Amino acid sequence: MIELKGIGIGDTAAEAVVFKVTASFNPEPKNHSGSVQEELEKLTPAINKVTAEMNELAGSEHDGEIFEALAMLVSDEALLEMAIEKIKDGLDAGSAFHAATVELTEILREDPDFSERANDVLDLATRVWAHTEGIELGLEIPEGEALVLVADDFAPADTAKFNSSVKGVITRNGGPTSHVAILCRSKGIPAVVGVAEIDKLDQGQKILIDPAGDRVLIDGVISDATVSMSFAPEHEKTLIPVLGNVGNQTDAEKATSAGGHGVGLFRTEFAFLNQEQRPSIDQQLNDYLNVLNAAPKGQFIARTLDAGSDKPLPFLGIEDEENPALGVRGFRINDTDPEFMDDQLNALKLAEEKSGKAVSVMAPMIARVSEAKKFAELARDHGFKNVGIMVETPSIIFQLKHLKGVIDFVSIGTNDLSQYLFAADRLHPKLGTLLDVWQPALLEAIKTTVDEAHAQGIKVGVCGEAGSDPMLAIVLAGLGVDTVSASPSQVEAVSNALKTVDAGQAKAIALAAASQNRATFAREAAKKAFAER
Amino acid sequence: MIERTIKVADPIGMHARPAGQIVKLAKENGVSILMGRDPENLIEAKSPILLLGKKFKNGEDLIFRIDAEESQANKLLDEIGEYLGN
Repeated sequence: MIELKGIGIGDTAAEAVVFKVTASFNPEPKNHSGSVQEELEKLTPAINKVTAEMNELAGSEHDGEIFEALAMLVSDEALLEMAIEKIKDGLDAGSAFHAATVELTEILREDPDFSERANDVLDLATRVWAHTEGIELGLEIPEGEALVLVADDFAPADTAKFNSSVKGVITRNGGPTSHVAILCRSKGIPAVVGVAEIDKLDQGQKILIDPAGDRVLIDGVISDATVSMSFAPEHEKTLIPVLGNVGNQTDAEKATSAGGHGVGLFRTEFAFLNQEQRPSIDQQLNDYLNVLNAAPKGQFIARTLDAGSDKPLPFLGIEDEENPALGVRGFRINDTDPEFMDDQLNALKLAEEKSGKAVSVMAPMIARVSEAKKFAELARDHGFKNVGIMVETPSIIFQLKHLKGVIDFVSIGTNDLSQYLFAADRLHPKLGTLLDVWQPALLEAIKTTVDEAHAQGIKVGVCGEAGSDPMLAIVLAGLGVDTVSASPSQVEAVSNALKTVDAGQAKAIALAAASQNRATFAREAAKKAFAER
Repeated sequence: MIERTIKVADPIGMHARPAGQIVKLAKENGVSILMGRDPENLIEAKSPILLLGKKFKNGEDLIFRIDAEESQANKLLDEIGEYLGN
């Protein structure tokens, strides 16, 4: 049995037969032998046909807006004018249109937001080209068989044709946020994307697509599938408190009904989104109170505004930056706009008084001791007793020894910590494996944080993705983390996992995972240690 | 000729759909729509791809100039405002 690794989308495995989709139309540019007029008579109907196809899809597909936009792009006048120039220079209709598209979409390629669109338009240009030669292009999927579609990538026009025969999708390119991944997730089709060794798959071969194991198994059967772990509670109480990450009132209600022990991360951003003007203290108070009143009993940690040029807010006047993740964001805004933090802390304090529920505060993007001190002083001046910082920038881990008596707790944001630790953009389609929460270097960073913080009497929580993975939550508890905070939908699963082990067992499982040198090994070692506990 | 400044209010900036919609609006109403950042250097909204190439970002103020009667121009400018997320 041969295993091909990738990034799994969904968690249901499926047995099916490989159906390789290759680009069936790979023409070479050529010159015409007739008149410009004759070529135009081929080109115009071909463009119209593709435009009509896109408009038809726009009406029938749930993500119709993409197709509506594509219809507009393929019928672009500047594109046609440029193609006409190329026909005048000698190219035939299809070659000219394709060449014009390549040239015109070049300006879109520098920008990651638009480069996917450029690929889509290029795919349409190939379709136009095929039409000019009288060739019907399109993905023809046989009906009635269980198939796994295999290709480098799928254009939106292709994914729209996925029918009930499609039991799985495998691509060489793309990451968890690519078009095909999003579509498969929404349609419940298991997929593995970013499979480098895709060429090992042969047409008609029987395979198992196993997204929960981030892999494809050649000759695999359903009994080989990775089982999503389920945890049957053995203890009455969770080993460490399980809190919820909430962004609004609905989340807070969910965290309460899931039995959360409090809120480990209240993202205050929601009170500011879609606001042209800076919201007044009263407005903020109102928003915060709604969340506080709906939140579960226990700790309540509010994070001060985490905005930057990636999440711009008009009233903050943040300029465009080359690298928003490395720019003026989080607590760094305080340097240019101290009044903002003052307002927010005032509103949070009032919300605490009105609700009668204790509120703790923490600041995001703290990289230096001076920043931690500044925030702690501000927060304590506003009357907060329990004050903390996020651990996201690796630099602060090495300075925790200077924070005794300055802060009461730290909360590890594993998503940003991974991004900065591995120098890997959180949204990059090809870097998903670097951001795996089981990366041993990340576990080591968490362990160091725990040890350094505890030595100074500082409590440690984890509020990133890592805290939402039940098995990893056991590892975190074993590393000495005091609380985990999970997304409300995962609070119950994480709580159940933390009711299956005692402190000694968790420690052994954590040790097994943290001593590995690969993310996949760490995950497997934890499972093995758990099974053998 | 009517001029108005409209802010792009879309987290990913002016993307393909609004660009296409503005071009379509100009075509369907038989008017010329000039737009851009710099009043001295506006471009005619004829090509969605060229508009995308200008990379108008969220929060940017764009100037729109429409050569039409005041009531029609204002109606079209309102529509453009909606396309841009206002």
